[in-house]
Amino acid sequence: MTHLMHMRGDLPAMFLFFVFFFLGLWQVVVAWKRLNGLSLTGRPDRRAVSYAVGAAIAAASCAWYFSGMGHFASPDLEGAETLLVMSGGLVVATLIQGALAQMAFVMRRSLGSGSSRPDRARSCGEELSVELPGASVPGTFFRRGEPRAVGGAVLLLHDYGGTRADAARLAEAFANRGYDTLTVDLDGHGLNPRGVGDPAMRELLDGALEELKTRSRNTRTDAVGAGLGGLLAIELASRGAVRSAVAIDPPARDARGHHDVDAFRECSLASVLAEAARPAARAEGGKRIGLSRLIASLPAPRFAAGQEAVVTVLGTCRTWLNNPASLAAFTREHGLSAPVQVEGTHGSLVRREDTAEAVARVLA
Amino acid sequence: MFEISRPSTREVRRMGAFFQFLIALDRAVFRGLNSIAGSNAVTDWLVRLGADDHIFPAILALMVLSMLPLSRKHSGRVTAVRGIICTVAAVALAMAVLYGLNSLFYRPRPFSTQAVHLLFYRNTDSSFPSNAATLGYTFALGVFAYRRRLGGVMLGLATLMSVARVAAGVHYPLDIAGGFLLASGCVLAVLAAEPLYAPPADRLVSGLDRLLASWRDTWTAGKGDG
Repeated sequence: MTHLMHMRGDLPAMFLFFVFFFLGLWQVVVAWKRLNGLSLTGRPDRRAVSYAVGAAIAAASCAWYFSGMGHFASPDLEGAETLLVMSGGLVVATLIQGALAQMAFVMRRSLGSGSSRPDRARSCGEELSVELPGASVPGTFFRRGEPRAVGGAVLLLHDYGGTRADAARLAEAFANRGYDTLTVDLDGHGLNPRGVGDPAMRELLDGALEELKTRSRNTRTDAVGAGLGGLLAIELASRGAVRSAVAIDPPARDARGHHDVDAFRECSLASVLAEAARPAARAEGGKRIGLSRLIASLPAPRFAAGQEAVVTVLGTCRTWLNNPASLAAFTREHGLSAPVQVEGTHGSLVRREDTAEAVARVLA
Repeated sequence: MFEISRPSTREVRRMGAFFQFLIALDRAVFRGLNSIAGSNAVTDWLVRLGADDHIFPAILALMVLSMLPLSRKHSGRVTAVRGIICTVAAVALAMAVLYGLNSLFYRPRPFSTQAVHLLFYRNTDSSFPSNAATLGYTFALGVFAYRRRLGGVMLGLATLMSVARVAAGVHYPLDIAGGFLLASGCVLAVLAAEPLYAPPADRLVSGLDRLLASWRDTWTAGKGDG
């Protein structure tokens, strides 16, 4: 390789240059793509700072390298050699960026500037079982309190990777606003013995709706779901199984049914990698199934012509797991009204009192 | 090894009129472009910038990688990953062919056979085909096959780099044309093999999709990200 590989230049200097250059570029990409979970400048990312720091690092590295003797239009590494050193620099810079971002995340959390974990709501509901062929699925029923005049029954569906305990806070808020509320562990989640076989969990949801109607003695049922539960709630409404549905920040899907979300906008690198290595939900046979595959396998909601618009989508104002624009495109795609934007991250939305208030306003 | 830039009189007679015309045109265009060099400090600096071994190739390589962040949805990611794999494979193929061509024959650089305005260092490898033009056009055409607008911009940059190298006195225009043809051939050959690299590319996109949707309710999981 004598004519392609000269290796006559300053290899360590070029490698160092590329490492710093790509570190600068990473800050720009983090700001551009709003990868808050990989940000060194805060969460949500302080974009202007990130852009400025990134541009400064990249410009400084270029100035240092090309101002040196023999690094500009002079005999040096060239062609394939440059590309190899560049690839090495990119890999090392990516590793450094990941490590620094994780350290920044841990530091922010330990200093208390990050979001703190909220206290888990104390469940005051009545434990029950939804009987399905060959399985008994645990659920919790929250009987409505005052005001009784409102009435209604709500099937509340939790997010991917969660359990019905996550929905307890929201369920109590609905019960306090006059709605009998039932939560169940979705297939493949919590204490539900069933794995995800039917991606739309039709059998489970139909059984849960029957149980809710029996307990509540109320024929007016609505479905409310967070994240994946939101997609299932939309599916229930599209086939007319419930009067209306409220989807709290459901993962946006493109026209072909693939997800249009980005976990790096909300989660730290370590938690994304841990989840990718071991997805939270169980498929039939004990195999794990990730959110990506689950979303891709969900049938697209089809609303009959003339069917009343019964679905309301709540989204976050900022770019977190969902991009507001993607969520708006998703609702447009299915002929739904534009998302109602509320404050909070995807993860904190179901635990915020104003979310419960916004949902109650829609249901009323 | 044989030289193709200084053929003997006997060999010249054997050459067809077309090749004589081609060589004459090659040298005439070279002289025209090389006359830019040395006219003033600013154009000299710009020519050196364009002809540099790192700057344009690195920018073009970054533009290849930028296909991924520029794509938003699943279908865009499929196109981007296929484009990146195609370009990297075409670059590897082009480098292998270049190595073979360099071993087969040697064309002296313009500065070693005539008086030129040299704005660059004295390269020692064969002038034909141009390594830099091959690399630049392979990057550009590989991307152009999948993303027309980005690829079009890259074709423009690769052409600028090629023109700068002629103006700097290190290549003849025919070397650049040879590089372009070699790049086109390599990209077309790799594109013909798309059924081979499409399935692994799609699997990579599935892995990327899985990473982007690696979400769970972190409160329950105890991670506390949300």
